[in-house]
Amino acid sequence: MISNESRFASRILHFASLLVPSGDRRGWREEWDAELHYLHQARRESADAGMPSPVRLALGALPHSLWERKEWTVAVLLQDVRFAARVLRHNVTFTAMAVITLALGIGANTTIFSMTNAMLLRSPDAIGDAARVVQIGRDRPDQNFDSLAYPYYRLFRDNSTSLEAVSAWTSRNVFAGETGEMTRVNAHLVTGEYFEVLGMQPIDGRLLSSADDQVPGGHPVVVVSYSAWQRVLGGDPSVVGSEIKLNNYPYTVAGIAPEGFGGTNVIGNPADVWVPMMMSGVLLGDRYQFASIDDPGMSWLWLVGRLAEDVSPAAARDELDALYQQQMLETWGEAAQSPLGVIAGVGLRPDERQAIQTILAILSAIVGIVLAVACANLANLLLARGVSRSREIGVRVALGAGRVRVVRQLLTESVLLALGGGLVAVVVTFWTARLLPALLPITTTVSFRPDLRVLFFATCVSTVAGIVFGVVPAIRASRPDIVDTLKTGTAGAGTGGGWLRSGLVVGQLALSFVLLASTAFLVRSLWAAQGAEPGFATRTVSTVTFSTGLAGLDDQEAAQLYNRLARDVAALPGVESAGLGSNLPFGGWSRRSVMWPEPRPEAPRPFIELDWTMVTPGFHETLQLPLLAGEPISALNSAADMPRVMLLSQSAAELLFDDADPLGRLVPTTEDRAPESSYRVIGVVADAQMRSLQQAPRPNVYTPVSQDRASFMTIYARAANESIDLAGPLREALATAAPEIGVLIQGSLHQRMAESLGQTTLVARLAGIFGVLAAMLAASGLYGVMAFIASSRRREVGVRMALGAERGSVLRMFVRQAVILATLGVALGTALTLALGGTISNLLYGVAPGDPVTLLAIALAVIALAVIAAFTPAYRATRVAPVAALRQD
Amino acid sequence: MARRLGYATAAILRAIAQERNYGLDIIAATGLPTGTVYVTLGRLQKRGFVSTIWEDDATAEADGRPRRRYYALTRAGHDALEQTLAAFDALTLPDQVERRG
Repeated sequence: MISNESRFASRILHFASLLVPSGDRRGWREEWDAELHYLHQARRESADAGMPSPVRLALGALPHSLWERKEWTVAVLLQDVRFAARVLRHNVTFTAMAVITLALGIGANTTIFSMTNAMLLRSPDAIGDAARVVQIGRDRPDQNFDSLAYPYYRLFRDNSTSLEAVSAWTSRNVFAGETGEMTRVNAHLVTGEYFEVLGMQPIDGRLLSSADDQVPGGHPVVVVSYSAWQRVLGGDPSVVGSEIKLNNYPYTVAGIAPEGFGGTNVIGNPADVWVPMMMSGVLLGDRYQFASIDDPGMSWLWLVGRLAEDVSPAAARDELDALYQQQMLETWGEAAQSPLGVIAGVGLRPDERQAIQTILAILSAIVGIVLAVACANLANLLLARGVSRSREIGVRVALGAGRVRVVRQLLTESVLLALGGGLVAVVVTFWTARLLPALLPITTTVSFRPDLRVLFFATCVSTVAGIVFGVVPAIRASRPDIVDTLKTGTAGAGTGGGWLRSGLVVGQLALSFVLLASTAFLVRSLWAAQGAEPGFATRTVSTVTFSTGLAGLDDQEAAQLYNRLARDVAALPGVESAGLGSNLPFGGWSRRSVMWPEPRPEAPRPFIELDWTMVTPGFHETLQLPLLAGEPISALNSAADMPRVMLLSQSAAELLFDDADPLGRLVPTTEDRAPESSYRVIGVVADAQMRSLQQAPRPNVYTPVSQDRASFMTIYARAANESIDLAGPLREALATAAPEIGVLIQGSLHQRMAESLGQTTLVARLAGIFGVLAAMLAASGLYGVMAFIASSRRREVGVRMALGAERGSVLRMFVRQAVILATLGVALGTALTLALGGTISNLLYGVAPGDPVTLLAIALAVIALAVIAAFTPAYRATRVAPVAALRQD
Repeated sequence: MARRLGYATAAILRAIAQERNYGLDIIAATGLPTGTVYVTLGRLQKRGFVSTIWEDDATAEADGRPRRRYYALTRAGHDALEQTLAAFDALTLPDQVERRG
């Protein structure tokens, strides 16, 4: 019995001893064997109750052996780190160069990651129990998560049991302060439950509640954001209870929202003030909008809700969708085209998320390439250093250091370098995170300031980078030919290392090529866009946008003003043609409305949504939108008391009437297709890309503003040539006609079009910066390799020159080698670029992702760069006196 | 001021001070689990509170058994034990105090 037990205990001891570091294993085993032996003896002599059984004793050896292993590992690691730090300190130039290279590579990555973190991963801190907050919208099959009309908010508020509270919001630009010194601020119009849904606490005063959102026009109170309190109100501590004017109407400040909160949206302007929804009529001065708050066809609100306890978003979706579908049936006589969507969390909507993910993926790929190039560069530097350190390593191996130990020591050095680079990168990221928002083509409510997650990311990236660039040089350096190395101090550098280093340079050049070629494609797109015509005149057209609603003008006054402006502006010197329109192309705005054509059995639904622009006579002529059929809108057919008329864009005509002739036909705008709400088609104009150059033209209808009403209008004026800027005269004309109206936006259409390519510009800019950076790193890598080749072939060069070789021919020999490497890099880069071409094709305009001319130009540039990088080391090699070279070794 | 020792550590130091000077003997004296005793001994050795002495080969061979490893308190170990016991004394009723010489 005892012998079985002790055999088992011995086995446990043997197993545990394997965990003990080999140097300490013998002593450890001896001590435990003695203990076991003594235990047997003691148990034989007397059944001592205080003694454990042999198996229990042996089991106690397991934690002991684990502890020994841990202690040893920590000690060795500390020793490695101390040694690595000493080595790096003694090579200040190398260390500084490596840290800077890595800081660039890692910093680029942490910067883009801080963006990803802020936009995709983080939710605003100020929201209480954020897991229960959901966004509600129309989940359209084309990926757009769309807004809803006010009646649906009311429907959910009054009937839903799955939501504890629901709120609707929208954002509008308004003017704060007194006339003459107004500041543009962003107002979020919110229903009373908004802050309850978000579970938020004010930092001063109180937030809005349902009691503040009961009577239209009856609650002139606002909550100001922390940043607006600091920026606009100067951080005044007594601001709560004071009065501020928004669009010339006084409001009382009820409280201040928590710091860092700018609304539940990520994209778009952060809120400066929150105003009760019931004040929207007063705030916007746009009675039509408020009058139509009950219109179920007017989708203009985003909904956020707080789930009731223990209700999942899916369960809430089922309940809300049922309510929504039933209401749709009652309102429109048919089920909704798209179901209702409920998504967990605030932040990006699904459609925005997809767009942002694409752009972040491209940016991450770009910075990933930069880091890869930086790593290859570092690997090259370390390979070169491995050669010069071969004597030191040889001595250590000769003294008994194992290969694993040497590799680990060298890897510790590279990881330490990378962490140094990472540390600098994080510091740099704090700075770039502040610069970044200015570079972005969109405004966002979130801050890109790095947090712990970014720090963790930087540490991981640095460690991985350190291992990636350190492992191959470390393995190579750990197997020097000891005898040879100790003798000469230079051997082990063999030609194998040369191949590896050349391979790394080819890789670097290839990756740089990918970035440079992508940049070139994007820049060419921007050039192409500069010369593009979206279907209407842009180069010679200036615009000024204003709102009569904001200034409190009524319909009649507004109509008179539009007529007067059209007349006054057309008479200005230098103006060839002028007109007004209710839209602003390229990301300004356009109104969308529903038309009810004659019922057609094959149509999927009875109505069609189209862009609707209200214009004065002269609009189409000014924009040079060609009239394809019928007659233009003119003073003769657009008087307020005449039957209402409409112009269709070509695609709108096809949508409404298929192939039939639309002229003279009626387009109803209400479901009952009443003649008084119908428009007679008098003409068809060409399609135009009003929204974006990268989007197909959208079907559009145009009606005379004199027969309708519009609050926001843009004056368009076309000059005889590009050199005439009409924005100033347009402003003056507006100021003369209506001194109380301020200009909202002004500029040339061409400028707006260029700015609308923001995403392409951003990627082009960053790819350009990083492409040049990568190319410089690659060039310095090539320089290093050429210097290495030149020095290892010094003797050969000496022999050649002693035998009469010309300096020029030796120089050519080296340069040829660089050109071969560069050509390989270019070939690999071209293959990669073509393979990756699809990634950026969405951002391109007027150039194919595989355009041979662009590829050739970049190829030549990379090869030229290689020749320049190779020239100095090659030239230096030829300056060596043959005798000196021959005397070497 | 040195960090005060925990109960297990103090008990092991005290056992060694009472000439219970190898692993199994310390286990018997303190009643602590075997794993705890050996790991603590390792730590105390690292902190310089105990030193180890290997029994000489001849004695072990004569007895026909493996060499034994003995533990002894160092000066620092003595001081640490004294301080800790003094601190424990403050928690003990006067008639239960058992002072070591």
